[in-house]
Amino acid sequence: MFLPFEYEFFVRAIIAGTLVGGLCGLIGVYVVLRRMAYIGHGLAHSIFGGAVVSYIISINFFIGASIWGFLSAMLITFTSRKKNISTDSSIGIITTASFALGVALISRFKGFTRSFDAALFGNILGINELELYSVVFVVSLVSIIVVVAYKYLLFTTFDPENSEYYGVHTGLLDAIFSLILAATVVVSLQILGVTMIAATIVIPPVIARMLTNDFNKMMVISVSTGAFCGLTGLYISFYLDISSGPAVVLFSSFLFILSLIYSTIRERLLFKSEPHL
Amino acid sequence: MLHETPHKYSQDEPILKFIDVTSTISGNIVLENIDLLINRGDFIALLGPSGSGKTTLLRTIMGLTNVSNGEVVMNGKSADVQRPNVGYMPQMSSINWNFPISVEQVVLMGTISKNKLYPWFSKTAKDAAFEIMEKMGIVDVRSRHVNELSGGQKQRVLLSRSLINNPHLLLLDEPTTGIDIKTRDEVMHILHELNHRDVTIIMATHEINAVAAHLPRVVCLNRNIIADGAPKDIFTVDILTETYGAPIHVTRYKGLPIVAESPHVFNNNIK
Repeated sequence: MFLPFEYEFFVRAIIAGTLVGGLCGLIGVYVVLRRMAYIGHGLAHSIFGGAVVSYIISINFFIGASIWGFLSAMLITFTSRKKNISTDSSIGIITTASFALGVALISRFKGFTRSFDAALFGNILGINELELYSVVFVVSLVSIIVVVAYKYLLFTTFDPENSEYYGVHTGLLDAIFSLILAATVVVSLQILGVTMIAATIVIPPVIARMLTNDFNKMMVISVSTGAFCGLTGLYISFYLDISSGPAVVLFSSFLFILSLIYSTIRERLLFKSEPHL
Repeated sequence: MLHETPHKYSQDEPILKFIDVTSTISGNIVLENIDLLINRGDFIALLGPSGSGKTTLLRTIMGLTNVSNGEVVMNGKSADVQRPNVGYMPQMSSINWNFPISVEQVVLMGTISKNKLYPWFSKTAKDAAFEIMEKMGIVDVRSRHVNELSGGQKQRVLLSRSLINNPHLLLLDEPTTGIDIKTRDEVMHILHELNHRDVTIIMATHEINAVAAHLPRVVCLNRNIIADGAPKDIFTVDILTETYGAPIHVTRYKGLPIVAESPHVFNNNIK
């Protein structure tokens, strides 16, 4: 069981995987409750475009991709609030256009040496020290913001229409949320891959929501489930020799099915003991 | 049981003045040339069809719309300069009741502008929430999930949130829509109690007979103010037909006006 810990790359991977899992679980609570489940999927595709552009114009991946992701998230929020366009439509348009730009650039500039597979499905075992530090940095940043802005984020997520009247700067909070969401997706890309991020953001909070009606408990369950899935998924990835992204997602889906069965049985039992009159 | 209408009606203490106000939303004029004087202790029903500007009028008082012309003056000061201490209760349907949140957390949101830098809700805020929930009779369910409550209890939660800062003016957006008769009477009873304690109330409503007819003052709105006065003067065929843009009949029962829409005849064989 502890055999893989003899390899330094695995130790790095397991720390990064657990942190990213927990981080996705944390940010996922807001994503799911804001009913924008597909934003993770969309942003990952959008950031792929940003990553290609950063590579071509030779700027740091983390900086270039984060700015790109932030602007995409802001644009999605802006168009869906200001114009008569639904959130899922604006996610579909903006992020796919950005992804298409990335693919177009790759096909135009043939000199690409980076692996497509790693970008799409994740390659955590190739994570280097700098990437691990960036994960630690983003996890710390997001945790601090979520704690400091706790009541404001709760209010704007619960009742966005009326929170402004109560003195909450919804525009500023939307910008902050877009920033931490983009940062989360950027550091998760390397580990989970473009196509796998949506599930790791959505599954832990959905499991947590099935198990509790309490916001704080939902946060705790979602973060722990995300971290546990990251950790276990990596083990599975190592032993079965499959990509890290699919391993994490498949294990999360397995837990989702278990909790679905559990909550269905619990509801049936409650229904039997408390008949509706 | 509804209270009688004992409200003080003091003309010399205007709490709020609309002076020739025009309000726009996304560039479209929703309210035009509104002149309105609200006195301390008023209890006003705001009537008008959907889209007539009732919610916009309430939001204009809160400083949330674009006033392109005129001025809203609150306690002698422009509402642009000083955001007034106003309680606001939104429509029930605007709230996501399935959200994982407790009764107490919803009520505490009313205190969010206090202790801005403190990440969580302070002890003072929690005490204030406890006090208002006790007054509203929901203190026993404070830890429950909001969706476990009855319709009347949900109304009390939103009312508690709007009252936690002890406002002198309370704005309510259709507080009796979609609830049963008993709950509606409970809500109206609470509002009359508050009005007795010198809270001025402006309430948008669609319920002419059950709610507006029992209040001392009714304002009919449809982009402009069509009429303003006591129900006995306002509930006339002409005024209500102009307000709603549809034929409306008024009859009397034991001296009270009863308002009814024209029956539609779908089948000529019905006699």
